[in-house]
Amino acid sequence: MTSESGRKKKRLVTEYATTMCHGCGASGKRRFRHGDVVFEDAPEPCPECGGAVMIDKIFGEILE
Amino acid sequence: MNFTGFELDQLLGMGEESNPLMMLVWILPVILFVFYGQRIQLYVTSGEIKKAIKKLDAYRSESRDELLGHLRDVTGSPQQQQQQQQQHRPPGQANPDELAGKVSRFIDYITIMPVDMDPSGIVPKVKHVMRTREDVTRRQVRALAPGVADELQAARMQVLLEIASSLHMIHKTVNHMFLTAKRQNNYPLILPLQMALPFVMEQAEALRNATGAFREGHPVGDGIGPMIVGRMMRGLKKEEAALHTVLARDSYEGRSLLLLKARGPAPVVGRPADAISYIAESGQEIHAIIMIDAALKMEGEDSASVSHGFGAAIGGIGTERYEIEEYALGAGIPIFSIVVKESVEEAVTIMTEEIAQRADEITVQVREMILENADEGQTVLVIGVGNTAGVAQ
Repeated sequence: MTSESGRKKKRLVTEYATTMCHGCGASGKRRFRHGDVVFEDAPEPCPECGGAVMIDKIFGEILE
Repeated sequence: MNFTGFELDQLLGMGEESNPLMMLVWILPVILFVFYGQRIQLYVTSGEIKKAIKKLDAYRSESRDELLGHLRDVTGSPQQQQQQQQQHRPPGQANPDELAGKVSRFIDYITIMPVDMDPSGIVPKVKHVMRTREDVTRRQVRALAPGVADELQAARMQVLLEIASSLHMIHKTVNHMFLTAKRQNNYPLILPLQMALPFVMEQAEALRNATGAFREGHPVGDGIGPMIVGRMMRGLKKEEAALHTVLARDSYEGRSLLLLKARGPAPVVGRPADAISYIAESGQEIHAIIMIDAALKMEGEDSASVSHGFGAAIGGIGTERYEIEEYALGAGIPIFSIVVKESVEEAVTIMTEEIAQRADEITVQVREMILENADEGQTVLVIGVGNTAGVAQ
């Protein structure tokens, strides 16, 4: 999802989530999906080992 | 060149050969500014303030619409609600018009602080007033959407209601100050408003941008403390230490750890002071407290910079801080703090990458602080202070 702030200089914020595999420890980064919660499991499996992955961080990247 | 050889009449344009019209050109503005200067300044300043009030009014309406939209999303469409009403509406469930009316009434609620002529014993009174407000708001939110059993949705609605209420109050206050100055034609009265307006607008814009983050369930900058403690709590058994507050027990290098944070991922801040009372009542001794929180950065400070210090790092109206300090004083234990510097907007909108990336580093710093300030066999209470929206444990 992309949002704009009310600043004079318009800011575009893109939301991302980083994931970490419980099994192999592989980390990844993808766009935030509605329902993602930090320290809860992501719906998708690990692309490396197929195991469960946890959402490690959720943050916004700002494009001025 | 001789600079002293001028005549005063010539300089002021009053000489015999001077044009009376030219004389008026500079005399008139002087007279005008002497007698009407303040009024002119009032008109100029009024324009800027009017623009700001218009913006505040728009923010107020947006936040109210956002809240109503969210309520409709979680309770069903207006058509569905009307059907429910015609068929078998549960007692207390409002139709769309009633809903809008109730929301408007709740947004306009005021909180009257206890009288402070005799400040002794005022903290429990303030706490009582604020608790009553919180509890009643929670019940009202439940009444607005009686079908919503989800604690997370109810907490989101409560935060959106608080934001709408804050923006409403900001608009009302600024408008009142402006209209009073205008009615009295009193320029000095408008000066404090003019000076405070940039800060007020910064707060209002931050609140306006916060609605999206809370509605979507994003972690906000203020959630860095709960995020660090949540990370330390992972895989541990949690117990409810106070309303919306969880406690986990762990050990580290021979030290016992008590980890405390608000229960996520609902957008709540928990009640850490009540949780400390719960721990104390259980007979558990605490030898040091470490508090991790977000703090407003000063101008010139880098965002996401970390500072260590002493004292209770917790915001709010002050009752929680007072109780934690009272406990520490009574037990004779130190309070250490780690704060992450952020702007007002960063604290209430989605966590920035810079702040999120600090989490691992601060977790290491917390562990170092535990080793430095507690001996083996001692117990350290680590509190992640802040809004835990979007952060579980």
